[in-house]
Amino acid sequence: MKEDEFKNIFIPYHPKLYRIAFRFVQDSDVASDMVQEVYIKLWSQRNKLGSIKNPEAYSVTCLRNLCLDHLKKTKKEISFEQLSDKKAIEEVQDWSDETKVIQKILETLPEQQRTAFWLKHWEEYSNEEIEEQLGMSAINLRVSLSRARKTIKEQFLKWRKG
Amino acid sequence: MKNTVNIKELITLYFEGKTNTQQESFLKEFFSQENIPEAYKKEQLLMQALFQKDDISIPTDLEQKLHSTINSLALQEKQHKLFAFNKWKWMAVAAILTIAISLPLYFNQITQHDETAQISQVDKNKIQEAQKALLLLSKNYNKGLEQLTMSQETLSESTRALNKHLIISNP
Repeated sequence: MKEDEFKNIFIPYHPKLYRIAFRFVQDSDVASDMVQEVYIKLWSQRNKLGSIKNPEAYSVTCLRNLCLDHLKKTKKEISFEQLSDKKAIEEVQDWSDETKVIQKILETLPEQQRTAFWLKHWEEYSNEEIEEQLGMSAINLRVSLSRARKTIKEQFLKWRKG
Repeated sequence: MKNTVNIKELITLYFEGKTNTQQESFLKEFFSQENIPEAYKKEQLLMQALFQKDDISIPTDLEQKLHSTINSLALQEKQHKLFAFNKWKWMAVAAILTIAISLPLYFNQITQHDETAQISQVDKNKIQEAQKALLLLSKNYNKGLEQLTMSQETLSESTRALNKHLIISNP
């Protein structure tokens, strides 16, 4: 794959990749670095990329892996166990914007549920694309989305009552 | 009424993760309306929040940075290829020089080897001459030895004849 061809295929994905990276790392500079790192990795593998059916899904998978590695190194990821429901609700009581409440609740979800939710709701990928990007079966995706949505609903309603 | 029932079913399916993209779009559109049936009003805020996209702005210079990164990687690769080509070129020059130096040395060694072979031939001739001399010496020695043996036999016979004559003359 030549330079121009590579750019034509992969550069248009950068807004989506940046948004996904930002949601993981919550830092603009780090998110930019993650995206650049993905492009370096893709460039180094460009001779193999011709055989990949869905370059966008492949890019998202690479980015997710890089972000998870980064979070492991920096130990910034908030696990579901670390934040109890009560604490999560207490934290979001200050938020006035419902979208930010949802974001805050999402931070307490396990990584797979959270990423599945982002990709489905905010990046509007199809189920098949998400399954490919996250390496999940259709059933696992359905379960992840269901759990994420139910947890959000439960905590959102608690927040509303509080 | 049918629409309301469908919405209720769709909401259930949505929270079970069983809705497809079209059904989710339908739900999104339904809850974005101002006038929806009273039964769904309490769920409207949650559903609107769920379908509301987060607002993340893309850094304006990111695309340019990515172009620069790729250009830089491509350039590095070209330079690497050029270096690799130059490396082969230098290796070829080194090989030619090695051959150019080695060949005269090799042929010089062969000439020296031939000279060594000639000296050996001279030695061989000398050895052959020495062998001939030794053979002649050996022949003469054997001849002398034979003559000595014959003399001893003649002497023995003479002694025996003398003893016989003495016994006859002094009985």
